Amino acid sequence: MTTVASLTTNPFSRRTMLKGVGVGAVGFTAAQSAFIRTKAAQSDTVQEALDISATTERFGVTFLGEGLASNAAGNFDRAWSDPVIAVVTAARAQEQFHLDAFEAAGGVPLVDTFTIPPEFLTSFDAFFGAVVEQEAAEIAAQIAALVVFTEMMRPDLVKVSFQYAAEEAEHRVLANYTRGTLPPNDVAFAPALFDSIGAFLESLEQRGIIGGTGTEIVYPGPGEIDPTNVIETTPGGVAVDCVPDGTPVADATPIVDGATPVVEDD
Amino acid sequence: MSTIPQLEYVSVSTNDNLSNSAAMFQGASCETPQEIINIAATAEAFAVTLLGEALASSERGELPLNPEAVGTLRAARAAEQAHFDVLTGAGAEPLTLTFTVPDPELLANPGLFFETLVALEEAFIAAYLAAAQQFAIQGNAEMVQLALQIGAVEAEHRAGARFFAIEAGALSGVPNDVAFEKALFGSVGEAAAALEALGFIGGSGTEISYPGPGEIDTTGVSNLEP
Repeated sequence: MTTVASLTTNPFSRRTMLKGVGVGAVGFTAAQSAFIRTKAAQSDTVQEALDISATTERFGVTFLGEGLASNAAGNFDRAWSDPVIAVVTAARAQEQFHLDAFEAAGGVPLVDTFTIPPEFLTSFDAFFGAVVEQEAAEIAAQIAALVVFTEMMRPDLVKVSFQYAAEEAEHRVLANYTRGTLPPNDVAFAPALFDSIGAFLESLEQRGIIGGTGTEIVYPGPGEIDPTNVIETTPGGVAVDCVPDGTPVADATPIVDGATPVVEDD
Repeated sequence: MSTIPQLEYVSVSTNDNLSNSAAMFQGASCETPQEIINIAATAEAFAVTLLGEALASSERGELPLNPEAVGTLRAARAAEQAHFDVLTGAGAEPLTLTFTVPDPELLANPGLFFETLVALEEAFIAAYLAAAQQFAIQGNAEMVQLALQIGAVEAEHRAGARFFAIEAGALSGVPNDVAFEKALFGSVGEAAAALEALGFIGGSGTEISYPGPGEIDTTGVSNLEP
């Protein structure tokens, strides 16, 4: 059980001081993406997390595109209502924005072809049940990845991971509601299903989504991606900028500031 | 030769981004874990209370909600209580257990209620996002994970509230309108300040006290612990 003792900050360390604590307050600019790419190159596990996250977002874009197309072709045993179509259309665009963000950070998707049971594109319950399961798994993947990002002292990636994973939870609850689960908000804490993001990747393989024997679907799937109803398309906003309590802080005057007087040696 | 003390620190840093190094040494101290969980517990207590008041208003026929909305709010209240229990179990001390409802119409008008609930959930999500970053800076992975496990559920509440707000005609678009949850705050304290500014803490409106009326019903809710 979490206790106050476990909440105490780690002792200040030189390592803490040396590592970057953030890359700015405006989300993923080109400079920030470059910074993250550099850091990812220094750590296989961060790279793994970015690659696997990008891969699963490719699956999301593709699967939702196939679902929308199958519904438009009248293949489902129960036709989707217009509000459901709108939700899934927005969700597909959101998965693409997620993919864009992970690729901008240096993530390289591992595959572009996925496999699904054919009934996922004909059974209403199977499709939305799959969405619920997949979204829960993706949230859990990020819960696992947060350990890596924290250990590597990457609060910038913690921010992105959180902003993305919490949004996947919105997909989960809406898919749950669509398939008739009441209440749709049926968990108090998002389940931590995996010990590592590698375990999440293995689960994709075990579930037959990667390298399985089902129907092949290829990124990005059919149809245009429509972001009409989507806002907050990058992980922007305010980034926390603080130092752990006890960190020695030098003079608080800015380093790069023409007004700052320079002390000159005699 | 000029000597600028900050550069001596920066010169040993492996961080190539000078502006970030500068910010690192200019930044305020992070909130302590105790401060963070105290504020979080306060927010959870507020949520439990407000949702309880809304459900009671609905039962009295004052706030017209359909059965699905009632079920969603009941489950959400149970989740907020579970969050409160974990935080207080970890030693959190809520700053207050008394809150204020700035506008009585909030508990009589479904559109206003759900639109307000959207804004509140966005504040809660952003608070946990700020908490997660601070815990990460402090090297506390377990608490970073807990912040997301809670924040993700608050995002579900946000989507649900948007759904019912759209149904009530108070909002338009789709329930899932954001690709990334909004990062509104640089600290958890800013979230608390936002609640105060909105009149929910220390305001002049009707006082409501934790846990609010009615039993907390966990029917249909699983994962009641992280």
